[in-house]
Amino acid sequence: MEIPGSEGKAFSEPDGMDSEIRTPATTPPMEPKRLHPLTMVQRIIVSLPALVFIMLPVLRSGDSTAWFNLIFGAMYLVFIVPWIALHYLRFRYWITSKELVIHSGVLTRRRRNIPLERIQNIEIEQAPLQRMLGTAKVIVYTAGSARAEGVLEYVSIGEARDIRTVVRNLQQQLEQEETASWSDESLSGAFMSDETLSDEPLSGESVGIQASGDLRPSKPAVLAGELLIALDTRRVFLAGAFRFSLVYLAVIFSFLQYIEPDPTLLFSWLMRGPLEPLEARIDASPVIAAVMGVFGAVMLGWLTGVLVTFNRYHRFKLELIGDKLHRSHGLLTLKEGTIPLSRVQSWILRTNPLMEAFGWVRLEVQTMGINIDQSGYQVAMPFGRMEEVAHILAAVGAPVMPENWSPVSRLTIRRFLARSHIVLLFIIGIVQIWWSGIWWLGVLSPVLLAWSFWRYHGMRVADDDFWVAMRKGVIRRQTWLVPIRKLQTAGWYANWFQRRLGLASIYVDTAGASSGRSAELPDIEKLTAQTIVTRVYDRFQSVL
Amino acid sequence: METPLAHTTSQSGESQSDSRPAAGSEPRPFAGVSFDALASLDASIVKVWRLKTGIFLGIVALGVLIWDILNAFQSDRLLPFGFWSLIAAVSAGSIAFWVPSLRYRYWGYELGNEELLLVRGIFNRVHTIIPLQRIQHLDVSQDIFEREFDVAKLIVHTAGTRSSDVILPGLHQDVAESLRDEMKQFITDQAL
Repeated sequence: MEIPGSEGKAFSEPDGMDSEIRTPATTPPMEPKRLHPLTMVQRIIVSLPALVFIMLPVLRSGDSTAWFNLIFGAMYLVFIVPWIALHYLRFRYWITSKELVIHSGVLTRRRRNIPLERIQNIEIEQAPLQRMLGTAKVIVYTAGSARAEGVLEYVSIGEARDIRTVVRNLQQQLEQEETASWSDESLSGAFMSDETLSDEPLSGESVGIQASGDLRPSKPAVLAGELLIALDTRRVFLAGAFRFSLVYLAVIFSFLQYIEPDPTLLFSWLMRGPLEPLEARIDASPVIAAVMGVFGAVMLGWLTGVLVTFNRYHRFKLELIGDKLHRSHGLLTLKEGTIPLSRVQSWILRTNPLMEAFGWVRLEVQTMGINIDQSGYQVAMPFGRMEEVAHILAAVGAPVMPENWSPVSRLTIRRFLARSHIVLLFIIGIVQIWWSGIWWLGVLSPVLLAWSFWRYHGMRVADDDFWVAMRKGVIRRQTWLVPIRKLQTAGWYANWFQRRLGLASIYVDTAGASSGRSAELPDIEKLTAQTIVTRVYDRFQSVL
Repeated sequence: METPLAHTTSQSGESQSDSRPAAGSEPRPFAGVSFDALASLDASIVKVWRLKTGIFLGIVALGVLIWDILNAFQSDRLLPFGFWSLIAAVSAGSIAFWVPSLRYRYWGYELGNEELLLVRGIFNRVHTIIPLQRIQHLDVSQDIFEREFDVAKLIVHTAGTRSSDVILPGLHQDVAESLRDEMKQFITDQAL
């Protein structure tokens, strides 16, 4: 089979993961290209577990009467392997000056054209197998689509980076062509106000965009990023230590289901050798068994949390390249992705009481139209200090966070207590039909009291010329920072009970925020609520 | 608590007056707004709502009636035949009569220079401010009942998700269309 020349060149390149982002000499137009030939090998390897599964009865017992499975195995070889080869031969992609074109399909031919200006994010992903083979998966996300619009599985890592660079350069070129008719705001990342941008000595791409015509598009943009934050190993371990994961349960159960071992045998196998005395203790007392069980489960959850976090955020790096945040991380599976700042709708600080006690916080962004898999919320920094958050915000040209926090009305304590006690009494009332001993559930009452005070303490609102900020949550405390210029609609509402107490809830809606996870805060004094919303709206009008 | 708020209010007043004097000088009376000060819906919408609620609740009441008939010859029944049907019919009738007029009473809107303000709700009163620049597109729609009474609803789409389609129901058809045409001018390329 023939491989286009450029493909071969990209392939022969040494591992490009650490080299800087290169710009191919010529941008448009590109020859139609095939995927990396090793794609076929990878597909076959990935499909092997299925074959093993089909052949399991034969492999397990050497049972030659399982001819049915043998036939399936043979069919696999006859159909799947040629299908993989055909798929490879049929798959072509290329980039024109206007769009990314992907032709694919064995039986059904698909021709997908993705306009370059709609491409928001190009993610490069490398699972362990791909890292060994020097290939990568390129995932193309567009504005306003629920899932990945185009996936190239797999190309060489150098080629993946080339694709990203070419698309970026062409996008820039398209934008510059439009600059004449557009106002500058839509280009420079509407989030950043123009004066803050010009203060910031940004290099490369952003200069190309800002200067609108000074730099010719043919000039290759050297993308030098500004490192915003990099997490070292110690920090990632620490982040994991604050996390609790129950993933291990799923793993254990699926493992048990697959192997179906004898539980007593497994237990005695686990408890052999040095753990013998432990087994004797567990046999002796159910209380010790229960305590040990809980302790074991918690430890396992904690350990999994550490491992999962470490796997995901190993060598986490956040850079600012032009008007995009560039993020790369991962231990086994490497991920690289971009978040265009113009798509950032709000910033969310997340923490929990434990993290808060030690001064740690996690920074997320709520975006519009990228990767709905993560429901529009992406992690900008998994674990860090408030100073680091402030540094990131300053670097992207965002104004300083508001300081003038005001609490909500104390009546919210009363409302919460009333509401939760009605629910509690209802549950007790229903359950006691069958079991009168449910009365002990009443011990929850003081817990609810403490909770209501804690909840009240966490609820805060602040606003200034650039932000509306709302903080809420007890266990999962979140602070929403909404740039006023990103407001879509705003308002306040009050149900009958709130109106009786002279309270109202306020909300600020942004594009793409999922319902239930948006900036809103209940039980503010009605007059204050109205003042805040009106003031925010006034500022919105004067900013625009 | 009042101090920081008052402080920022004065700030906003300043920043507003220097950047956009024309609109900054006029007050935005969202806060103290009462339903008398707002434009109300077309009175015919009450009939439409009564009709719709009546049909829906009528079907429910019919279900109760059928249940009553099916149980008419049960020997151990305590209540006379038609008791539950009567209750269902009376409550359906009164709900269908009163709730629409209450809904009408607690619905108000106002098209300002730069925003659409909606105030609505019997139990949960919601005030929504929709900046006209944020409008993505506008629909005027009518179902068969609304067509009969010459009313229409205006659906305002923004990129926000919470009120991605804000619905202003029960406008006279001409009013809905003129509102749409008026708001249409504000649709910009930069609604995001």
